Amino acid sequence: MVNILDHAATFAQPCMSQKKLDEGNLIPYFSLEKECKQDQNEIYNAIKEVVVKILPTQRDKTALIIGTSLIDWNIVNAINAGAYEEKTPYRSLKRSIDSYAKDLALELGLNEFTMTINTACTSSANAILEARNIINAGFVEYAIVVGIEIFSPVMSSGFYSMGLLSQTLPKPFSKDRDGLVLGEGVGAMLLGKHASSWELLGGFSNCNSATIASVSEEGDECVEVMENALQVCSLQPKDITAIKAHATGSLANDEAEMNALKKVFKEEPLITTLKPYIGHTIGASGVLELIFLIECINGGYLPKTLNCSDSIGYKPIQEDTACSRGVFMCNFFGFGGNNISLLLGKTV
Amino acid sequence: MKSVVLNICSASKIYDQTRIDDLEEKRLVPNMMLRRRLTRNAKVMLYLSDKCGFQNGKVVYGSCFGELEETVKIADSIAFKTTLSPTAFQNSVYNTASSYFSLINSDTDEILTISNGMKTSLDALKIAALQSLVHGEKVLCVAVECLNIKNIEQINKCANFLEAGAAVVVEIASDEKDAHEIKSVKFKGIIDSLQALLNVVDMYENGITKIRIEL
Repeated sequence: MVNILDHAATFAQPCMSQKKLDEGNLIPYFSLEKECKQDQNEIYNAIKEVVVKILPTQRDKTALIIGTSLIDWNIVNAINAGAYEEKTPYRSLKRSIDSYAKDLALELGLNEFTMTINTACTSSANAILEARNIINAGFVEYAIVVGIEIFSPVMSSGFYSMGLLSQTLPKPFSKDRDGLVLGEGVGAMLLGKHASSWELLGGFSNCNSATIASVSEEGDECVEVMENALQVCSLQPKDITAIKAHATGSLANDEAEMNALKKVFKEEPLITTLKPYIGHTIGASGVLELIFLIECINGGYLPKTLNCSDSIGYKPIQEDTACSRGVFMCNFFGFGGNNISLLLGKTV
Repeated sequence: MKSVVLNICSASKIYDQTRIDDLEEKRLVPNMMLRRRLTRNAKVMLYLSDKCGFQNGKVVYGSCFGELEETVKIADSIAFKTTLSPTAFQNSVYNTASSYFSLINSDTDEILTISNGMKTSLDALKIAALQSLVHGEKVLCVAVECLNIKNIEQINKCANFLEAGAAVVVEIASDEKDAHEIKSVKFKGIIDSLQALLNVVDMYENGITKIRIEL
């Protein structure tokens, strides 16, 4: 049994701001109150700030796993230094994204086992599942799982070029949805076997997509992870109290996920979506959305879904709904066909 | 930390100073449209997994620098203020190679992508060992670096071989008899992120089929 013992997070501000892309286009964006620049030290400190809040006493028995889709800052720094464009000499700092985990483990006296997972939108969700594996296998007593995403003009321009970004609001599962709104944030969860009201029951991850960027419209790839997650946890669809959908607000992925939900859940389940509150935090969404959900359930309610009055299928809840315990399915579907469904249980 | 003993079921490596000539793309990916979209990392990964005789199952893929060539296309667009290619963006994420592997081999199992700096291949092997231990299955562990981009000489001071990769298929051994520690022979001119896995492949090619790895 692996439990969620503690958590800490820095979410984006609830009101969207705007970010300017390199080509001059403005996009809606969920920004952190305090800007975290694309700077190795600032990112390191942002991670450290949340990790130190949940450190267990047995640090040497605690692994650190980061899930992110941040690209390698060597390259960004090289570009920023003008090396590529103007052929000026550039000295690489030779610091890859995993440096954060290794350096932080060293500084805080954590176990030397670190890992950085980069499976796009499922990065930190996969990190949570891997943390459960290493604890269950007895390699460490605890694992701290970090999800981090900071505004990246490169990534945002990429989503913009694919026509995936909304110019208005994130409207998951809504008929008038027009794309996703990105966000930034950093969160950390402490997992271990000590008693807690929150249990990480299990989950299932696969790599299965129709194309390099998306699953099929029928959503069978999403069905596979949801059904297998239920199976490995010896649960039935009727056992699920509520679903935290991935629900980015994009045209194709929302369609696929809703079709999958209809196949797995013959009766309409309680569904909530969280991206209208904090944005799509890509690699960090696993940790951040779980923390958001945990905070709400600890507060006694399942949060309503914003901006979806006319759904494409099952209707996400429209009002905050009393809920303080149960089993929660949390879905994450990423670029490149990385899909994962996690199951969490909360006792009173 | 614990150590585990792994059987090396198969192994393969490849590297070239500039560009690996024949990655057998036409045989491995008959679909021309799909073949044209493949990144260099994906081609090397497909080649190595084929040499290991692995098509389906759990995979741990590692790359320190990821899809550098595609990232450069994006950098080009930013530097020269041209329209960013959606394909370049799709292909620039770290898990691109493993996603193409999944698509082409219809491998829908768990496929993890990690990037752990200069320890990438060693850590990928540790995670593959963990996966094999937890699930009791053979796991493909593959690490690839393709650095041959325009102006690479401006930032590259350490690698003479700009394209390289190594792969092993491992499973948990039933006993520790004849298990060897992973050697640390330096493959000169090849980026450090691949050294550990290259050593394991080299050991396999020299008749060693059982290794011990500290997790």
